[in-house]
Amino acid sequence: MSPDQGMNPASESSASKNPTSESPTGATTANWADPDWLARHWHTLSAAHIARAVRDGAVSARTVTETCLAHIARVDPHINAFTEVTAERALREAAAVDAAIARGETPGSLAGVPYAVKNLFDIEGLCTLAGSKINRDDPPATSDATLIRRLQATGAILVGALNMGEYAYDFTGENAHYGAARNPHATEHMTGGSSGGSGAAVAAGMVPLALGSDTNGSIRVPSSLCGVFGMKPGFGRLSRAGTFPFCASLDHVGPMARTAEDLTLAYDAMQGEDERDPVCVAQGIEPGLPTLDAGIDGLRIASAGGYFLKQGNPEAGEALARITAALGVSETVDLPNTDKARAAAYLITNAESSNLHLERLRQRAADYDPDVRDRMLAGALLPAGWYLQAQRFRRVYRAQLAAVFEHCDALLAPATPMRAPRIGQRHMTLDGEQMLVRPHLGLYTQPISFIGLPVVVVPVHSEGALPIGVQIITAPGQEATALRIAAWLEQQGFRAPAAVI
Amino acid sequence: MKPDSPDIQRYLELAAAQAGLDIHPDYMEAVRVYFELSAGMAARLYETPLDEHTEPAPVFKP
Repeated sequence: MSPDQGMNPASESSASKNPTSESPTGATTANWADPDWLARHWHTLSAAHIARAVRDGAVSARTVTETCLAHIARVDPHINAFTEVTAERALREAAAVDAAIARGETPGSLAGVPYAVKNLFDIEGLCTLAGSKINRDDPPATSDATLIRRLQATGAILVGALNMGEYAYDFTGENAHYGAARNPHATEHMTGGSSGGSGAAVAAGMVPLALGSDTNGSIRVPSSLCGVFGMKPGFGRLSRAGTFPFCASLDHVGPMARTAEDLTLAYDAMQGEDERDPVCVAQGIEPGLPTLDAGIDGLRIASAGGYFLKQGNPEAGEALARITAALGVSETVDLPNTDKARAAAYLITNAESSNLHLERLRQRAADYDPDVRDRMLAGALLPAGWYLQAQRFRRVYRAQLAAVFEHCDALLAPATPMRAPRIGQRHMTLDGEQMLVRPHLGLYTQPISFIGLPVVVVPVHSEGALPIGVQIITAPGQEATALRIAAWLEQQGFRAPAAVI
Repeated sequence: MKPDSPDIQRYLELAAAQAGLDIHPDYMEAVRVYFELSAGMAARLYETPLDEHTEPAPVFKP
């Protein structure tokens, strides 16, 4: 199966393992030493390609970083993905990588690879905005978030902080203070959120890799709408230390990329317990790379039915059907009580985020994005019984899905009920019912993060249409299986071509 | 409390006062809409009775 490419795809195959024999753009040879070649092909290069070229000495980390910064300067005014470009720091980190190579040291797995982070990650010396106006008054972070330090240890180069929905309470990618991040495949459309800048920066080819956070779908929704690969690891797998919290019971962090291999390289680099995050406990490092190319033989994969087949527009079902057809999946499993799982996740998020923000809501309500403020004010007034019922229900739903995973290794479900709405669109109609976009765009992602299962989103592009994604959901601890299936689908043509801006 | 209960407005005003939240009158209608959305979610959740030994999961391990 070879799906059609997107609206404005670069004609690349970033899954190519050997860019020097056949470049991602179809040229016969790669010429890393030629700055013009690098600039022309920047948006097509994967993190794996870049790291190999830097390690092999084909190009310096400094040249890579300068190319990336120039691309951001040219493209981002059209996309609004970045709220800060850390050029000085990036060049300093690149110099350190080049110096290590010159000394004969072995650079890390992401040597010289530029990446950017959602602006709720602490970056030493910068204010951690979390998409807000209020946090501008906070002092700059005194150290980097744990995941930034782990990526830096592998030689990756931080090039900036990315736009996001205010305080992560968002599925749209819009922001009242910094403007909406724009979907690179059609800039009048939403990126999805709240990690909208992360999805846009990757989809626009500005960086091959970005980090986001996902409480109810904030990595998976923008991955779907921007047509990139995104990973929400299992709850507690990656450290949240040094990120601005949203909802402690449900917050996750993870990578977004244009290839499954890049997603895996980043995931592997960031694993490990962290005493600064109370839920990131010892569960052993289980890298995805060793089994990434293992194929799908022997895996029991089913499609999620019931709730996941309702409410969505036809394109959500069509994307799921293309993925199930490619995988040869014929079994559909109904997941009981999924509507209630989504309701419980909504209530936990509403109650915990509002409690976290209570003092700010008392003092500075007028400085919030109105849509965030009003939802949090409502959440601050929820009866305690609603919250407790939701927290207790997590155990029930977890047990029900554990029983499902005794009979299958992975479940497939749409990531979003529709393609990207237009920026500013407030309502949508799903299954004949009109509803608000902002709280409901994640209705397929919310039940899964509710019980902390690992998920990888695979993009589905179609000729003349915006992309949409499909979730690969696995049992706790089985992130590597989800990555392996995503890599196999990528080899069948489910790719994430960068939009040409 | 049902989502369309006429008592919701009164409840919101009392609960806001208890929480020390001075909600601007211009915000109140949207706050009520979102509260009613949450009330609908809670009503759906209460459809499934829970065993009394089912504990909450405030720090959750999948």
